Amino acid sequence: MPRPTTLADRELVSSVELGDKLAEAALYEKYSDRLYFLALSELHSPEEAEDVRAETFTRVLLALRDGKLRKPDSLSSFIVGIALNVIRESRRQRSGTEPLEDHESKLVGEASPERAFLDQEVSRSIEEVAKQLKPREREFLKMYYYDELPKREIARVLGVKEERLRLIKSRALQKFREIYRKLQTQTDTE
Amino acid sequence: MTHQQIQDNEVIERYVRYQLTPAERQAFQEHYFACDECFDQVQMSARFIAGVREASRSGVLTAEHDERSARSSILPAIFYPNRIRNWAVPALAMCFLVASLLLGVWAMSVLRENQRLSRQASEQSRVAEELQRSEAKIRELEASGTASAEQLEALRKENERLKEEIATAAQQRETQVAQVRQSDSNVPVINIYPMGDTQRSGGGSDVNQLRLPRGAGKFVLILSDFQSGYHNYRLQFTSPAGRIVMQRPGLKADRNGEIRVLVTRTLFGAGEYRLKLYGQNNAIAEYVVQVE
Repeated sequence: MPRPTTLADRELVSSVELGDKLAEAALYEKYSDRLYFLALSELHSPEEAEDVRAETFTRVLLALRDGKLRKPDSLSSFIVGIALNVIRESRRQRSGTEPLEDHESKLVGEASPERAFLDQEVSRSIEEVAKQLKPREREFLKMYYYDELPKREIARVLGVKEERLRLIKSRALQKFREIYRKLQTQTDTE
Repeated sequence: MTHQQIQDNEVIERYVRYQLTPAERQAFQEHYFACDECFDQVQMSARFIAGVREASRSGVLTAEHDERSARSSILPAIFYPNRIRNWAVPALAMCFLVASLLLGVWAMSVLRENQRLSRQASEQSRVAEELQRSEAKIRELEASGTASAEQLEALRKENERLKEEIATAAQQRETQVAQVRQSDSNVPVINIYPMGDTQRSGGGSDVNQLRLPRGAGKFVLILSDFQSGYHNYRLQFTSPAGRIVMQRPGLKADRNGEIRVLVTRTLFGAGEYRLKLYGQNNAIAEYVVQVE
């Protein structure tokens, strides 16, 4: 599959190597959200994700200025690699500096890492999606995502075919996407 | 990792649910760093799954919660035009219509009552003026000595009639005011029968028992079985100690030959009272009432 950002990445890399500050800003603009999301997915802490984003960009810019990226087409892989290294260091640092009790409590907290992605719009959107779904469809979502039962088991309990479950899932996600976007638009305009 | 592989293998969902191997995970991360569409999808999936898990925890996905929340939607109705059921609109319209109709009937009755009271008030002032004129004429004739004894007597009788008329109007007004201040349902209405009419007063006794509910500030006595035919009546209340505690002149019998008298409860403690009914100063009936 073609990668639409490849050409731009090559230009960005060469501009950064030449010390172009605007190119550095453009690089940050392009990968900032992705880096934050990746770090949040791994660490489940907004504060740590923010730190990882800042540290990763510092290292990426230093490396690019020194001309250490030999294949400019692979910029995204290069950034992901550095980010994962920073994340590993962050984890090591966390486990080394935290008191045992704090570390244990964070491990307990990590039983629900998705909390990092929750906000008011997400909760409201899910509530509205739930209202639009049939009881059996809501039950499926709970059994699948929360109880983490296998699809076959859920299909047997609910008395539906497995293919049907996939359809329910994609429809629910689609409704969620629409409502979430509307709420975001409302929030942005307020 | 290609788009097709990502779709076929549900990679996005497995990434969010931490079900990919470390190598697969990094491969997908490198992909969404370069792919706007996949980055958008993975963000949305992460939010969706986080929301579903949280909703499962808090009970939002249960049927009971759905019923509760249906009554208090947090989003505007633009999301759910179908929520307003087909029957709701005509039902609401019907309720509104009935409410408007009742309001109209009530307003009409209030208007008519106002008109009636206004007519009564003007009639009373007319009678009062007539009485004043009549009294002034009597004084004038007495002073001048020009009127015969018959003329003066006729004028005095006319005066008496006017006074009785005013007293009757005052009694009616008092009853109406009391009825307005206190709803009919709270005013006990008690039939009493005169002495000698033991068959109807019940229990073979001349005594009419008054068992008033607690909190009743007023009550209405209905006097029946008396000698009718008088224009006005007067009722005299005598206490158990033999003292006259109240008189009600200007009473009129209704078309059933009964007299209704509104009485204030506070004037009557427990005990036996005697009520004498007069017509043209003649005692025509006597009632014995035992207030409990």
